[in-house]
Amino acid sequence: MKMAYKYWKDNREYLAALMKSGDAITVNEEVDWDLEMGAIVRRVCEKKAPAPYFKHIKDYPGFEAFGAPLATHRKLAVAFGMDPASSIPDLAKEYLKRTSTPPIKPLIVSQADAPCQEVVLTGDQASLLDLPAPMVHEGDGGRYISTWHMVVAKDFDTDFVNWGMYRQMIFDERTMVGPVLPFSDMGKFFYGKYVPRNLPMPFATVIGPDPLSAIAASAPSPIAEEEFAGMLMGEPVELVKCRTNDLYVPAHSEIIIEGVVIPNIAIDEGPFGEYTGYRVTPRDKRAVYRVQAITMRKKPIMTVSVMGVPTDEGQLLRSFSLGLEMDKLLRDQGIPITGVYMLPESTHHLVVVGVKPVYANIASQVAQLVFGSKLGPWFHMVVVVDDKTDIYSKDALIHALSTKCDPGKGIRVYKDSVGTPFYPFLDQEDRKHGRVDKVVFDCLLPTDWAADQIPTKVSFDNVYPQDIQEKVLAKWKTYGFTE
Amino acid sequence: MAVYDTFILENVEGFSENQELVTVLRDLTAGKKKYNSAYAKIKMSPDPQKYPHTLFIRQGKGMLLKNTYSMEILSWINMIPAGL
Repeated sequence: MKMAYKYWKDNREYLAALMKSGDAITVNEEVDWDLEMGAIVRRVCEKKAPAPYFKHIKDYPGFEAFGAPLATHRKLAVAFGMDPASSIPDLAKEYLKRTSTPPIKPLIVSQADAPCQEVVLTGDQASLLDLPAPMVHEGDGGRYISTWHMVVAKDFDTDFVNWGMYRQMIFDERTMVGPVLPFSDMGKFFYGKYVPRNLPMPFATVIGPDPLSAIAASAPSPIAEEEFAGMLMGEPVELVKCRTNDLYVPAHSEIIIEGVVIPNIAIDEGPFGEYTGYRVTPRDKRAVYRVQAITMRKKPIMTVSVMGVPTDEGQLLRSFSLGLEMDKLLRDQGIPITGVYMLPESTHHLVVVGVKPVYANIASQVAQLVFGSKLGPWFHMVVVVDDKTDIYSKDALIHALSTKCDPGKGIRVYKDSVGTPFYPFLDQEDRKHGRVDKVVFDCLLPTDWAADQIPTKVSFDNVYPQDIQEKVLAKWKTYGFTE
Repeated sequence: MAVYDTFILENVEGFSENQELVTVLRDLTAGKKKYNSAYAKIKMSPDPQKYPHTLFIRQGKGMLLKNTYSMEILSWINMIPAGL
């Protein structure tokens, strides 16, 4: 029988593990939900500081908050139950190992056994204003209750369930608003099936899921996220049925908001400080979520991610999983890749693909596959390097790009591709249509060059004989160097 | 005598004195209900004393305009169908 991996069943266990590793701190000072909490978490992201666990929130006794829950690779390692000092390649190997197993169906638990339903509020009792949603950035269109969360929705006429991170702003005590992109899974359910029938679509917003369920929700895998979460855990994720609809949510989450997305009505949402590090999309009419019930744990902990310049958890995790799902896609297609790494600092816009250059024009093949895939709308730059280049090294990336990419032949633009409206460089017309140009930077030397035409890489490990390298390495500290 | 703000994407300098419009008002009263929003039909003026309520204006990407406006709420508008 398959053994479960080491993982944390809920945010509370995860928070305790972060405290133990030095990656979280307790903030006993009362903080204001109106900008102060957002400013603290933003600075935490920019300084890669420990996650703050807020014990006291102004106006909201009985609630706590947990900021920047997964904004560093150390925290990601802790979420996986690994050594916090694990390298990015080791994290990538672990993700690929866990997610290359057969999907694991969730386990349904009774409502009595579900901590997320310790408190049940329905009707007029279910007020969004009674939850400590932060005013995240000055200038935002409202309080964003859903910043580290997932929205659960089900296809109209199949059993396909989607968990996705769709931002949600509080409009009034029973209404939330947010963009639902048409190419997203929930967008296809809602605009493709519910809206034409003029039917409300049930949803459940899960705030403060366990960290692996959150990772599953942010991963662009073709596997249903509830089964993907089980693969990450090595055993089924425990789900419980909602109180007012037929959706199922992770039973150990902190807060659940149940309701319906209303068809054929849109109200004003945004602006919002977005994952690109800019406030890009202006206030506009977007999808309307109407609340029917709120359930929660006793003394619930609100999770707060504050998007902005790198690195926040959206950038870190989306880059991590997007790159590795691309790795699987390219290997499945038989492309001779050596690895894929998407830089979080690129706000998941730039991906580096390492290949064995065994035939001509592999870079174009890579670009066409990844841009044309379901993953494509979220990024627009691919850099293809050879198998001698360390894809995780920014220094190596800049060196390859600057020395091996022929500006006339190696930069190829793909016009009018599908993209998100969030790219800061888009003009208004392209933003409206989600129309983005994409580019590949081919950093591979031509395969038909004779051996004496190929430049020799001048590096320690390439131009010195093996015995000299070994001697220098063996005597390195003897020479007086410390590292 | 309450304080609200609203987001207006057009150039408000082109608005007439006593401009009527339908917009979303955000209540800026401190406390748990701060930023609670509702659609309303309002009449606004660049004269901050003309109407009973204070109105601040933000542009589409959140930038707060320097001038303070005043407004009268003519009616509240419910956008949500009955029963939902």
